Amino acid sequence: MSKKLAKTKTSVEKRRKILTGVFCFVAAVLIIGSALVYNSFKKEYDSSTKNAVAMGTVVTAKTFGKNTASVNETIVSCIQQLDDVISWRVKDSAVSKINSGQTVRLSSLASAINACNEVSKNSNGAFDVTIGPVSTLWGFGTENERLPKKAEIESALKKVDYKTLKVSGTRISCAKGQFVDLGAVGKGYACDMVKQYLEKTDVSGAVVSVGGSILAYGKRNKAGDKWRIAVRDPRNENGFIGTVLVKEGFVSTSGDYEKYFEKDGVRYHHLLDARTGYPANSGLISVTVVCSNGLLSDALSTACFVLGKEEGQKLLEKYGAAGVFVDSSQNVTTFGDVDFERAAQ
Amino acid sequence: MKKGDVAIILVFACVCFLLFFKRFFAPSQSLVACVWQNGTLVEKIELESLEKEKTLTVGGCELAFDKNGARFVSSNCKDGLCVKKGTLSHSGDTMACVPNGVVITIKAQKENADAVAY
Repeated sequence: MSKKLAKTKTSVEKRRKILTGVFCFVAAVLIIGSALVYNSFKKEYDSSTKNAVAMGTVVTAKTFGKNTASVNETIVSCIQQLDDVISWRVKDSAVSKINSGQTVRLSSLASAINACNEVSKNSNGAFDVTIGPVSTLWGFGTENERLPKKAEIESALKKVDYKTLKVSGTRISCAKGQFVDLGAVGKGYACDMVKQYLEKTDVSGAVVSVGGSILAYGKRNKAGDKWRIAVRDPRNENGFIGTVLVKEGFVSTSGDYEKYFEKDGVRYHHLLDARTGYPANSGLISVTVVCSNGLLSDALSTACFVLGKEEGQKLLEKYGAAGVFVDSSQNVTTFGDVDFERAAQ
Repeated sequence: MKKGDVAIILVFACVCFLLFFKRFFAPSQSLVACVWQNGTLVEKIELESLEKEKTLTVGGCELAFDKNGARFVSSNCKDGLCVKKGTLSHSGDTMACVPNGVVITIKAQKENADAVAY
């Protein structure tokens, strides 16, 4: 009897050990298998990156999917072609013709100017693309940058008035002596053009930077993770204040560190208040806007910088946009539906 | 199940988990400097592998690279803004000599951000 019992005990023991071994093996397979499946979802599609200079700035195009190298080439060409239309520095551009007193018929540009004028209206003139006479006095980013005299600014300011920049259907004209400068929206506008192009291609996703204005398009990977857009620290050019996470959209930043000069201990930056002709003094040093339109993200980031946090947030609300505001004490606040990860302090 | 069996299972699970963690989450901050001229990639330099400073002449610009980063040493452009910019040392940093079409970008071997808004 005891022999039988011993035998039974041994076989039960054996069975238990086999079961334990099988259980371990299955557990290991499940864990490693999950890791491999997770990895395949997180894996990016095939991609290529191109860095080039266009529109007088650095363009970085990273595209995912098919024919990415050729798509990147076309992206850079697209941007350069747009610059040939909207830059006042280009002799025969549409904007140069408008500035010389001609009436130009161009539906895409008419839509863009209408959108800019709408931002001007909603910001009570804080943002105005007819700022050209004043911005050329300051000469930011050129060898002619200087502090203009008060009388010069006052005289130039008389020519700044978005209401006299007429758009009628596709026809665009401005008042005599006016000077349209789309520098504040050009990069975001370029991102809009790039998006329109990408929609006609086979790329599954893309992240394009035009001088720091960002288009996040399509899928980042098979799992559809959000795109991660780091935001420059306005007081540390090698650092970031945090990361904006977007599924798709446009991200633009306006900051007082981009173009400025200092004179007698005072920083004069390029973000001019169109109502005064002087660099905005709103208590902010950087504004980042997340929006569903590139031109608007650029225009709104400039307008919000000029308006300040409170009025800027009201403006963003009108457009259903979101923002990250950094004030002169480097406090960071967000507004609206923005997924923002603050960087470690 | 005996205590010994539980111990074996736990050890096994820990080993698998550690392998998984190391493979997919171990951060890597090794930086790579990429040099572009007129849209074409001309050089890729792993900064951490540099024992001493490396220099490169591209399109009228002299560039320098070391473990700390990359910079424009000199340029034949009019404004010299690229030289004044200083050293790039973080992933996502970008600098260009616009007149010469020369661009330097810094990226981590394993990227944390897809782009930088500035």
